[in-house]
Amino acid sequence: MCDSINLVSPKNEQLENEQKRLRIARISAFAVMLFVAAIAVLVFVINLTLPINSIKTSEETTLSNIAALHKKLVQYYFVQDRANNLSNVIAKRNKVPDIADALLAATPDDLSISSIQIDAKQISLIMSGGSLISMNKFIDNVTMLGQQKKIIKNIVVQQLSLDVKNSKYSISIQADVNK
Amino acid sequence: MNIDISDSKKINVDFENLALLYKHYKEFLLPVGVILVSILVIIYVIFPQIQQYFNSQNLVKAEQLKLDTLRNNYSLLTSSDDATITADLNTLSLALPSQKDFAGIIDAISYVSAKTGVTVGNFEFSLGNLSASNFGGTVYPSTKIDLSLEGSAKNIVNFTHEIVKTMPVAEVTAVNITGGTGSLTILFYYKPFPSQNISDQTQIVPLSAKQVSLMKDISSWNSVGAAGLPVIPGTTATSSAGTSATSPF
Repeated sequence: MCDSINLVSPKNEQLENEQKRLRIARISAFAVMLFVAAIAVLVFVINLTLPINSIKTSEETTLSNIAALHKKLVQYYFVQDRANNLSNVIAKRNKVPDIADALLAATPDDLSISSIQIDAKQISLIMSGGSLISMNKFIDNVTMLGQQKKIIKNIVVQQLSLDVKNSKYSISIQADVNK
Repeated sequence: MNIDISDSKKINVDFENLALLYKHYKEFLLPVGVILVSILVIIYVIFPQIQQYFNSQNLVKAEQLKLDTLRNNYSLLTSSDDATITADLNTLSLALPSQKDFAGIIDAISYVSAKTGVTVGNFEFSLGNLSASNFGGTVYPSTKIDLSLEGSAKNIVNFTHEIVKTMPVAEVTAVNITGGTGSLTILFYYKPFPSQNISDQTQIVPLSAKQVSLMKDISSWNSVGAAGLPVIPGTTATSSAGTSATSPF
């Protein structure tokens, strides 16, 4: 018996394949349509649920409340402005009064100040007195201002002289201001 | 109609063939059409909606931020005391005037002179650049004064100490003491109020600890103007240099 006889006609098989493709196409189209519709509705609903309107309403309410306090708001704003600017000015001020104070404090009682010149960059001073010990103490104190307190630097003793007539020593010192 | 696809192959496209193809594949037209329409909907409807969602979300964030700022402002304003804010502003305006405060400067010098026992001799004002356009940001205009003093070195140094703790805010830039006389160069600072309009939406924040501490320090400064010459923003004043400040309210 011959077993190679094909009982199913090739035409029927082709038709079946086409029916299958059609079914797949229809199912795919339906699925895509459903998917697109679902996404469209979902995005639309999400867009609707964003609370822009409620936020804007709250904003308007708060703004109308603040409007009644406008003068206070402006004053408060200016307080902050003044405080910030004052803080900046105070921070950038130089320390001339502190340096002058430190130099005075460093001066022994028996020395007298002949001249002090202080600006933002440099100091120069002339002291006079009858004792070399006090002069030495003053030099030590001024050196300490440079080494420990870091107020001044590059300290130079320019002159140490004796006025024989008045029995007075005089010392001239120059230094740079440490910024 | 003959369409030449390649040299070796010719396809005959005519009405009968098209009709035959249509008849053969017409069942597929609807699904393919639906898929095409769906793709068009995705491109022209869904993508813009998604884009709009992100835009809206950004908008919501921005609006929420604005609302938070407004609420903070409102809560800060309602919790602050009117009198305290006005007093603080007066104090700070005396310490850093919005314009050249000659009266304040003279009062400060007189006050410190009396307090330290130093006699004030001649003095000279230098006003510097008066162009208001240069006063923005961290530029601080100042009135420079060269001052002659008579007194002991200690008293003159005390004068420098006191003048920098007296309103209006000052900086001693040079000290020159010789014998019983001295000369000082002092800068008295001022700063115009910000000129932009302050709307109800302007953000204000509570004073920082540093600012509160600064307020305390400044309140302890010598103040002559506090008793007699309060400078409150909102009053119209004219300086001797001819510049004027208008009400910010």
